[in-house]
Amino acid sequence: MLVAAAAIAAGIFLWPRPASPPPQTATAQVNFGGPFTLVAAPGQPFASNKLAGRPYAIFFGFTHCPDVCPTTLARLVKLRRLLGSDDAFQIVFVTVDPERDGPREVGSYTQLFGSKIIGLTGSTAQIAKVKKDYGIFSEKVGTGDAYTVDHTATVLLFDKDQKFQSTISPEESDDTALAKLKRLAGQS
Amino acid sequence: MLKPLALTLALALASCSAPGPKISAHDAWARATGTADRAAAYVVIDNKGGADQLTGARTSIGEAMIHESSMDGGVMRMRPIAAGEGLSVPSNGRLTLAPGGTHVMIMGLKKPLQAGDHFDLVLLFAKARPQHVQVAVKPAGAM
Repeated sequence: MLVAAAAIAAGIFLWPRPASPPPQTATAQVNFGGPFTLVAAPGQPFASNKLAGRPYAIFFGFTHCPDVCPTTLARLVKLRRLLGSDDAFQIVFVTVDPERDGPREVGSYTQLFGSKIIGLTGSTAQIAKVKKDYGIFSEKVGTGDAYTVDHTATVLLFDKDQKFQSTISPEESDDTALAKLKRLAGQS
Repeated sequence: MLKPLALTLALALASCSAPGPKISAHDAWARATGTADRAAAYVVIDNKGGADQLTGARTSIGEAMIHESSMDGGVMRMRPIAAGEGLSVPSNGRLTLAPGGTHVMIMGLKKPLQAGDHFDLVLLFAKARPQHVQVAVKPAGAM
């Protein structure tokens, strides 16, 4: 129930929308995540089981996003430094704009932050599936080369067993976010 | 002889009743960029005079416009401020353009911005004269 409330508050869309009455426990329908195979730089497949064994924070954005996306990634890098180890959790960036973001684009983007970030893209179908599994909304706005993409800006946190744990919203303080990451990394 | 004096007095009185803005822009910065031809610039605008509005921006490195990021039910939306509207620079106050909020969006970058670079930005106001400010490019990981 709490997980569902937190997810709704965080703006994560509950896919699939149940057509029948909701099940007895809300947690049963909130099952973010799941296996995926995407593409990492410079162009090789990346299966989600590569993430197993260590927690991860996953964020969906796009490389033509100059403000919120780099701010979110820079913040995750900063918070991970505060935890004292790059092994505390993995940072995963998945593009919602596979049209413009190939492996080269996500690769060069994620390298900008001076700390390891796993940058992923895929076919339109692969991205659509992972967005659905992770409850991510995105919508292209504008036409031509100048388009932008509205998208869920919430970071999703998964434990080392790839189970959904919590979220970080851009509106939360660093202290709140850090407490969640400490729990995720088993430091509290 | 009297007429010009009266006019001068009238103008002086008019400017007293509505003091003009006294704008200074500082601490401008932007993050280094990758392959995408877009950047966001941030700046602090101080005003020691009357209220004004930031209406636009210009730069030689691309096409600049004022954008606002806003959260709507967890979804981040980024939009240019409406044509003819500006961002309020309060009298004796400050307007801060900072990550995750309002920023100068620069599109059509001719080359990526690298940490250590500088570029010129001109901020345009409804009343005050255009303000030139040097933007320092910081590493992408800067907050």
